[in-house]
Order: sequence, then structure tokens, then C-alpha cells
Amino acid sequence: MDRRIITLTIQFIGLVLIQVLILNNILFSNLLNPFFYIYFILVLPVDFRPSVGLIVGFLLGLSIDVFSQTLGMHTIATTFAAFCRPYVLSYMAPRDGYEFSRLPSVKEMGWLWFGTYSAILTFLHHLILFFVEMFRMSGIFNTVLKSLGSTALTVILVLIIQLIFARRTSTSYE
Amino acid sequence: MQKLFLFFWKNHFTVLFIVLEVIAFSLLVSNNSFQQSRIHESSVTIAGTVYQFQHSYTQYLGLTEENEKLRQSNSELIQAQLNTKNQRQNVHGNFQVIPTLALSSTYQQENNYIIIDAGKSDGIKPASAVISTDGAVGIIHSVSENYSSIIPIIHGSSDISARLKNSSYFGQCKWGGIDPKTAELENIPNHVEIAEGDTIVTRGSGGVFPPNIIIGYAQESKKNESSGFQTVTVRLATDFRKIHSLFVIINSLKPELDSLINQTEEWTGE
Repeated sequence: MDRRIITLTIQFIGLVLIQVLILNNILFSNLLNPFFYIYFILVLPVDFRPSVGLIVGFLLGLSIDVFSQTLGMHTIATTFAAFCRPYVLSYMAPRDGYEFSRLPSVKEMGWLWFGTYSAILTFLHHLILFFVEMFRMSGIFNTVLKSLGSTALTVILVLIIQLIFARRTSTSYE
Repeated sequence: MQKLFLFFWKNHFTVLFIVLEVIAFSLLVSNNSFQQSRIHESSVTIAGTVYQFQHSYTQYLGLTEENEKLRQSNSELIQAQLNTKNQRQNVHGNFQVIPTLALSSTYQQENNYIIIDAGKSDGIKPASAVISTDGAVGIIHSVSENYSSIIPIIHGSSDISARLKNSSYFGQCKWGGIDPKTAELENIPNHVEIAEGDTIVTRGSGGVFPPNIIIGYAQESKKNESSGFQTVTVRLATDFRKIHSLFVIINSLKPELDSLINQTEEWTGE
């Protein structure tokens, strides 16, 4: 249990640093802004308590906001993603439940499942984020387009990281 | 109270979500000037819509007063216009304009009349000119303490000295007695070419009407070869079926002009 908390903390700090130090400084295009830190919410264990997940999401968003001078934006989006996560998980539950696979990952659930799961949550997160950033209904088409493009980029990054680290992180909770 | 706590405990996930989002939202609004200004903008839009809606109904309440003010300012403008015109040309008079409302009017009879809500106490004098914002209307006939009657252009005995605006030939404007939309301009020599739409204005010779008040526009002319004069049908500028706001023009120099004309007539008569 302690080991799990330490791993999560390291993951949390590492992702915030990657986001604010590297990814925030890379401007791919106006339509493509990857927010990879959402990876932390994606790979929380299935049995992670939803209300604790909310607080963790809130803190994660707040940390990103503090470093990117956008207080509130990422907090709103990430808290929302953490709120949606249990519902997405129960919606996408396999026939025999998550009993033998407590960790959402490519290794446990397969490419298709994990890709869909990541895409749904990431899109919800990005949509709220860009909507709060634009803060108007008139540019909604542009916002959705931007969310779709950035979601694709983020999901690709998530899958690459899964490909590299999935084996190691999945065993770390045993 | 216990039930309330129970409710919160049962829904603690949703409640926590709402609380966290509210905190995040207040952080957003208090720290980001763009989102803040957007919220101000939306609130102004909403408030503006509501106030506009309210205004669209309440504006009718002050309409009578507003109309009164507009009539007053209109009369002041007409007065100013009349008096500056006179300065540029010869002095025809010193005009004072009084705004009034038509209380009743007819247009279907042989001898039509208009009653207005101003009389002796408002400074109305008999034989003063009456105009509307469109053009000449008629001449004050009799005046009581608070009311006056007008002989409009569409009256059997109406006779106004009028001239063609672009050629200064003048004649008498009378009413044919049937159509409240047209009158007749008589005594224009046959050789004067009149085009449709030529403007016919008051001559201002008797000191009643100021000069250059529009009476109407030429419609057609009938030349009478035996008398050598043509009769022009005039489409009246004022619509006598829709008389409402009227302006009475008092010429304070009229008595002086009248006595001069009388003296001259007496002398010629002798």
C-alpha cells in the first residue's frame, strides 16, 4: 500500500514536470496541444476510490494551472475527467468484471479497450479544457475540432508510453 | 438534519465533484481576466436584454408627455426657421408658433372645419395661419377662450394666395369641393409651363401665411383659351384625413400691415 502511494506520488510529480517543462513549451500547431498529464487519471487503479480520485484530479489540475498561469482551467477539466472516470469504467467493464485486472493498461485490457477508454476520457477532458479557455458558445465548432486534434495527439503519446513502460508499471503494484 | 447528512453521504461523490468544480471555477474567474470579462459581458447582455424588454413596454406610459415635448420643440424649430428666412429676404413679419392638437376635423363635407385645443388664452388670434409638419392647413376663423376653429384649405370659401415656387407667378388657391386630396390654383397665365410635381407655396402677401410654406404639388393644368389663364390641380401636401398635430403661426406685424393696406385702399377709393 505504501509502495503504491509512493509510486503514485512519483508518477504525479513526474507527469506535472513533463507537462509544464517540456510539453507546454512545444507548440505543434494551434489545433494540436497535447495534455499528457491526463495519463495519471487514466492509469489510476480500477478500485481506486472515486472521491479520492476527484481530489487527486483537482490537485493535478491545480498543479498544472499554477505552472501555466491558467488558474482554474486545468483544475475544472481534470476534476471533470476524474468525475467521469468511474462511469466510463463501469460502462466499459468486461463481461467478467475487473477482478483479474485492477489496472487499466494495454497489457491487462488490450490495445482496443485501452485506446477507446483513453480516447473517451481524454476527449472529455480536452473538450472541457478548451471550452473553458474559449469561454463562449459561438466558437463551439472550433473548440470541438481543437479537442479532437489534441485528443488524437495525447492518445498517441499515452499509447507510446504504455508500449514502453506498461510491463514495469503493471508489475509494480503486485 | 440527519437525513441531510445521509443524503450527502450517499451522494458524497457528486457533492464533492460539485464543490471542487465550484472552487476551480471561482479560481478561474478571479484569476483570469479574459474569463472574467466574458462573464461581465454576458451579465451585461442578459441585463440589457431584460431592460430592453421592460423598456419596450414602459415607453408607452410616457408617450403623451413625450409627444407634448416633441410638439413644443417642433414649434420652436418652425418658429426659428420662419424668422431666419425672413432675415435673409425682406421682412414679412415676426412669427410666433404655437403648438396645438386637432380635437375634431372633417374632410367629407362641402365646408370642412377643424377645431383645435388652443384659444385666446394661448395667444391665438383670428386670421392666423395654421400649418402641419407637411404643409399649409388653413386659417383661424373664430377663437373662444380655450378653443379655435380653422377654415382649412378644403373649405368652400377658402382662398389662399399661392405662387409657383420656381417661377414666382402667383394665383389663388381654392378648393374644388369634392376631393380632400386636391385643390385648384387659379389665375396662372397660359404661357407659364407647369410640369407635374412643381411645388406650390404660399405667397405670404396678406401677412397671414409666412411665405414659402408648401401647399402642394402640381398634378395637371387646364388651359382656358378664352380667359387666357390656366387652372392647376394641386395635390395637397397635408393629408386632411389624418390631421393631428398643428401649429398656429401668429404674425405680430400683421396689424401694422393691415392698417397700411386699409389706408392704401381708402386713398385709392377716394
